[in-house]
Amino acid sequence: MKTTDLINTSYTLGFHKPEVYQYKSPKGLSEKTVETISGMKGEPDWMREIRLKSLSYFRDKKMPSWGADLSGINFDDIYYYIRPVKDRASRWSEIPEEIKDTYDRIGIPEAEKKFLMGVSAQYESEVVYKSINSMLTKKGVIFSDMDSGLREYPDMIRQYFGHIISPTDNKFASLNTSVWSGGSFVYVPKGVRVELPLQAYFRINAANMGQFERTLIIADEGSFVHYVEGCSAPVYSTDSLHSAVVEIIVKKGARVRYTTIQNWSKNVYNLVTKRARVEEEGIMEWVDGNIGSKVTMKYPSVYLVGRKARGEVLSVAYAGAGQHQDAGGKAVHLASETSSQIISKSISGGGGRTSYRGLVEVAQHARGVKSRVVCDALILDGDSRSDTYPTMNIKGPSPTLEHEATVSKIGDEQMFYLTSRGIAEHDARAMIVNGFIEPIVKELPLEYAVELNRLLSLEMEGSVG
Amino acid sequence: MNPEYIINPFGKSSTREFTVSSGSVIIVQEPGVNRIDAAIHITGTNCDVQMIILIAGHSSDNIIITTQQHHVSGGSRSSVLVKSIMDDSSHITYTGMIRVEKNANRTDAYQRNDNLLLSESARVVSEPVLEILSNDLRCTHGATTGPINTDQVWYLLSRGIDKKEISGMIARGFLLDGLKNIDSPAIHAVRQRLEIL
Repeated sequence: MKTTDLINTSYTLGFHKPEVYQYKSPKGLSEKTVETISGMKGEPDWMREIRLKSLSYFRDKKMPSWGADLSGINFDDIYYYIRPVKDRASRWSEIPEEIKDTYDRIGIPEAEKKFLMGVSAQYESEVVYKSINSMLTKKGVIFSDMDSGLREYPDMIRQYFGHIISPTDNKFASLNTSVWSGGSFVYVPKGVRVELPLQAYFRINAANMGQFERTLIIADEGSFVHYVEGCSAPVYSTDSLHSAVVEIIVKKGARVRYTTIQNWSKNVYNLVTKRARVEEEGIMEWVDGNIGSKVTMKYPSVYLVGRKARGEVLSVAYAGAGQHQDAGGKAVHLASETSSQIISKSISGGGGRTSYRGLVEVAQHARGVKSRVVCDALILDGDSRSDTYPTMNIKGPSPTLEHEATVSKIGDEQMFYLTSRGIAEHDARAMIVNGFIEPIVKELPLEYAVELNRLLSLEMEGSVG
Repeated sequence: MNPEYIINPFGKSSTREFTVSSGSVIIVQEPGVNRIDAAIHITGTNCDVQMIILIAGHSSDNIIITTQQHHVSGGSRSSVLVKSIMDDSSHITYTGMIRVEKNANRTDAYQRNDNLLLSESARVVSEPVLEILSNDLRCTHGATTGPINTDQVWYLLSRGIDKKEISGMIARGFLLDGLKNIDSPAIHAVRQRLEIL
């Protein structure tokens, strides 16, 4: 069996449930669509104005002239808003049977049983089910979907919404700001540590449906939170667009870790803008896994604005047949004594293409900056491709910067060593690949580490020459 | 095969394309030459090519360096080393491309860029680009940028060396280190030039 067959057959989450929805906007983007979205959500005027302004920014902006091939996206052939059920359910039994079935297959109830702190699951555009541990609420932690957040905490959202990623930042940030729906809103008060990860599951279920979540995380001084987002989508015949915006504010001495494993089906364009602003002595960590999608362009960024702030990006990508993973990380040092580390591991096989694209920037007045970038690529066969485009833009005095990149295949010596110890060839290959990504996998929560290792082993199995 | 040495091949022009079998290209920036574009095309097998570029930036120099390691055929090794010492408010922009074509299997390509900052207003932009279309290869690049190590300064001070001489001494050593594996009388003149830098 070839690798490509395995990729297709092993994609167990790639099923298609009949659509259940209450409202579906007409295809294409217009002022009317935007106003309908805003109206149906009962949003305040300022939000509607931001949406409409962003729509005009979206129209003015050109498609990026760099990166992956996006010519397959037809913006007029996408549903921008689908509302699956009327009200959000707060108990499991209230959720409609089809949606429940979908969740059962992803395993959300199990996750609940494992005593996760809060689960907020997004089915199409609206969050239909959420629960939050009463202990969290007592501590003053807010974990809700973005729409409820806007209703219940409008002042806080107005203060931060679009301040980290401006609606004019790039074409897809404009698009998201214009038609956003769902996503999570997290606020952690001063000094509160959320010990278990907060999880949210995202799914797209309507063909041609764009999913535009908007997530805002605010970690107040000295707090800690780990937010986990897992994505998987059923397979469709027409192309889907996923364009999220994630804004994170890490205040003085706080630490935020944001973990994503995206396993979109192989026809999804995944174009995501993720950025964190880190204040004095704060720490931001992005752990980013890209396994699925047709095209991914995603460069989680840390803007280090306070003294001694630290940013880390750990990124792992697998590109199989027909896939292009254009991923990486950015660290912008705007204050003295800030440090950053970007580690990227990418694997391409079956004719896939992985690209590392990154940026390290040091502002003119930032002294004593330290940064380290490591990007390693593994190419499994002759049809695949790997590129590295790191950029360093250093204006500040005397920074210490290190950068290294390696592109290689599985070494003959490594294979010889393992097979001479009696390990079968395909096990040896899987072992080498798992060892290659190990520095990132060990940072994942256990269930994600298991899932990632299993996914990669499956994709690897057929590739023995 | 005896390696050949091509030393300072530019003269007045600053762009050169080399189609080489085996050998070393050593370029020490001439004063006033602020742009160097050098490309190595490897079309044979079992070639061993290295290129070393040494740069010293002063006053308000704006130096632009591009290198290309283009492996058209397989089974060869290439390495590029760009070392710079940047003083005053000089700027350097280095773009280093490694491109390995589809059938250039068993390629081993290496690229390294080390920059030593002698002044707080010196600036470095280092942009390596790797485009790999083959799968049976090893391709590595590394870049470092940093100020003079304070431990080294302390060591030299403790040996009674005049503070004024120290940064020049470290900077010369930094550049000369790039030539440590070159064993040819032809680079004697290059070494001498660096000594008086």
